[in-house]
Amino acid sequence: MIVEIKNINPFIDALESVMNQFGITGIKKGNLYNKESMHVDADITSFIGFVGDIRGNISYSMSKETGKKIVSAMMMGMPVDEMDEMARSAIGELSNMITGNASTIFSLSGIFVDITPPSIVFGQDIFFIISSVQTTAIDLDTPAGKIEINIAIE
Amino acid sequence: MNRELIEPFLNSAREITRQMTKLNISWAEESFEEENEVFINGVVSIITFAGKIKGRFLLGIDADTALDMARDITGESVESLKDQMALAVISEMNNIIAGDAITFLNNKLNLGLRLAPPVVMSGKDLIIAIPKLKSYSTKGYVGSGNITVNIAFEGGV
Repeated sequence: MIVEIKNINPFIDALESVMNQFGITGIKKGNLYNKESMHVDADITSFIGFVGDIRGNISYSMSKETGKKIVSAMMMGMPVDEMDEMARSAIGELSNMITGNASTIFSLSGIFVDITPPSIVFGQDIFFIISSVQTTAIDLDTPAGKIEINIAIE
Repeated sequence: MNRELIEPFLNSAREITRQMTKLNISWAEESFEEENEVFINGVVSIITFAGKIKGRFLLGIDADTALDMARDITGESVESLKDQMALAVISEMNNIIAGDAITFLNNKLNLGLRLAPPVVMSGKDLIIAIPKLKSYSTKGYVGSGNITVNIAFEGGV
């Protein structure tokens, strides 16, 4: 199944709105593209599942530098030198907030989804499969750096 | 630690692995609490679920063992864990294991859990963090390496 754009937009809108709350504004959306497989070069990938009327996974990937900048913004500009345990936990919280926010947007149009706990993966040159169906990707340019989103809805 | 929530996963993993591959897993008797992070060198597949409670089931397989399993299941030679088919096979195996264990838990404890699709990844020195969730790992041994099962439930296992 090809992921429908109406199922992608709530995630992107949610990301924008959550990032705005942390003062990260002016996010530019790249084009949507489909991937057969998912190879991620980013240092950090956080993913979270959703179940209910729609079922799937979404992942947010970014470089270490971008991660540090976002966590710093989340903590009112406190400098973040290292992606330590607290910073990792903040990235998990961020994916929780974005995906939870998306689930609220979905519920407004009568689609009910429940989100599962996020997992955050660190490492390099990682091959991922987040679904047995096609994965749709979108790159977002933010003042904190690039964030790649991969969405798979079954 | 509530063994009632962990054992179904260990039992299903052993049973399904035996059915799908020729490998027998023997689990260590003790499970231990992880400090937020799990380290794996090989293949990791993760299935998360939500219902009355939320949680995550992680299956980590050493690289050589994962290759053995993929070969056993497909009957074809699999050289690299970057091979799409190898990952897909392990993902499917995890899906069956988690589905089996969750069905058991739902029937027994009436938790109404639903599974998100599996996420599978391969790489060297993977660090998987689960913020704020207490998780328990159990190590298992098969002929060619180790298998780790890590289980986390919101509010603790």
